[in-house]
Amino acid sequence: MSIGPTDPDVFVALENDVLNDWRFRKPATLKAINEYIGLVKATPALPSTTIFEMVHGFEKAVVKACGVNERLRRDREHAQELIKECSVLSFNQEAAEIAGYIFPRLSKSERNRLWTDVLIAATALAHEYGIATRNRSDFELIAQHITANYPPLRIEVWK
Amino acid sequence: MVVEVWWSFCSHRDRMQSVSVAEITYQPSFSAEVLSATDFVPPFPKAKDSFLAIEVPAFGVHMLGETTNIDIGAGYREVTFESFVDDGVSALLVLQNEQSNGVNGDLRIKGASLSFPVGAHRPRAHFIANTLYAVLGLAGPITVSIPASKIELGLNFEVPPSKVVDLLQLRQTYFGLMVIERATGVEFDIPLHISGEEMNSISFAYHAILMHQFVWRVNEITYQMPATKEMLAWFDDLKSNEPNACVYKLESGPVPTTRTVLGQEISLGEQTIFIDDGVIENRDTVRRELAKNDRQVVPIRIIPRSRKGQYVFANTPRLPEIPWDKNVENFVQLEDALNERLAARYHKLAASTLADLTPEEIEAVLARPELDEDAHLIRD
Repeated sequence: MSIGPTDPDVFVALENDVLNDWRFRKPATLKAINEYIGLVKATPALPSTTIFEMVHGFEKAVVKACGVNERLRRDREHAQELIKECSVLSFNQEAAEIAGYIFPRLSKSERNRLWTDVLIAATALAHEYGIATRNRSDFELIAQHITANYPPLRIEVWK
Repeated sequence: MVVEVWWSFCSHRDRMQSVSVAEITYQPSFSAEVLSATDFVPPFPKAKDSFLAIEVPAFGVHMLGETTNIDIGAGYREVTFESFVDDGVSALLVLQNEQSNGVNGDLRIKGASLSFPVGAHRPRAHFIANTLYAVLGLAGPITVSIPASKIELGLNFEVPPSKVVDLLQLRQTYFGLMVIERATGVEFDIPLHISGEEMNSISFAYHAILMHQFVWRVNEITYQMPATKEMLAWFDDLKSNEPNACVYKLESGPVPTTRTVLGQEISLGEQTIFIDDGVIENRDTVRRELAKNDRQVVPIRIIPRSRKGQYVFANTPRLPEIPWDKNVENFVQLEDALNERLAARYHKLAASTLADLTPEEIEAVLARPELDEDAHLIRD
């Protein structure tokens, strides 16, 4: 039972896969979030790129269906409410500079596969957050290119 | 005149960041949806003969406090009951009443709000008030009654989870301050704003007092070493942790340490910091300066790669064996239930983002954004 203030180095942001596991109520993710809330009294933060991915999903489905149906409209509203109720990490100038440094140092295939993760990692680092992810190796690959001016990217695997 | 007031609190559950500024709302008030209400039938007994009871089934909590004041306004259209909770904290139930059938009809309760005003801005009072607000925000339906006046209300407080987060995070800070107060004898007044730096100091002092050993952020440590043969020998004897890299295990201290918490200096005892991955900045220059052997002070700047170190404290102020009285202990024991209810609210919200969709729609909604083949084309 942790009642008092917490160590600031436990804060994490969610990448898209963990967010989706949460939306699917995957037990391991629920357990990790329960423990996190026990410490921090808040959910993990959402980087703005994770929000972009979630909103993109709804809009892509709308485009594919040639319009918004009632189900999509309702759950898109729920998604907007979730965003409103969570702490959001903006892709700010510092994040842009970190991402700008990392991006050209990845191979073409890595860039194509990991471009949103680069933006997420840069955002987390700029805000002094760690990352909660299912894919440690992807974020380790990105973290290799972080300059010594920053602490190592804290990676937590939630799956 | 001494008015005897009391507040009983029974629980029946089986088990019970750096630039941000916490803004403290001293007097929030939660308006409730009235789910059910008895008629409102004045007159009332004297305040000291009546009790305000709050039943919170979701938390297995029953609270009862003697009414200390009844304020009747606008021909009973607004009636306020005040009850004692704890030193410096009261409960205020405000009822809005309307005549149900014209000017001569019975009074009906149409609206209600509940607040826990804090008179003395001390950590304990705010800790208790914030706990109560968080309980209300997560409770779902509750029952509020004033048996002597035959008033019973079913109420529901719809509070967004992010608001509960704010309350619980401030509650953590207040508890941290209570621990520091109890261990050191210092007393704090809660200001209107607590800066990120102050939050960090509170958190650090709390960890030092409760844990004595913990990992915490270390951005850098600077040693001030005289340029002597002994210091040069020490420097040359440092063994790197990693082959082909200059990464060292280092320690700093013990040194008497204080932290300023809300303007007051708190002595935390002797602090030693252990670093496993220290990198010495400008190592070659530092060595050249030490080798001069001229007793000039040479600053040696160490940056931990992880930006973390193990803090170990000796002779730290300690909490007494039984730090809290029964009332505070009851509010502390709500911790797990508060966490569980908050998590459940968020889990429900997260799941609702896919709840109505067909499997095909879910597949479409979860598709990650893709760019064209050459979108990231940079010559490798």
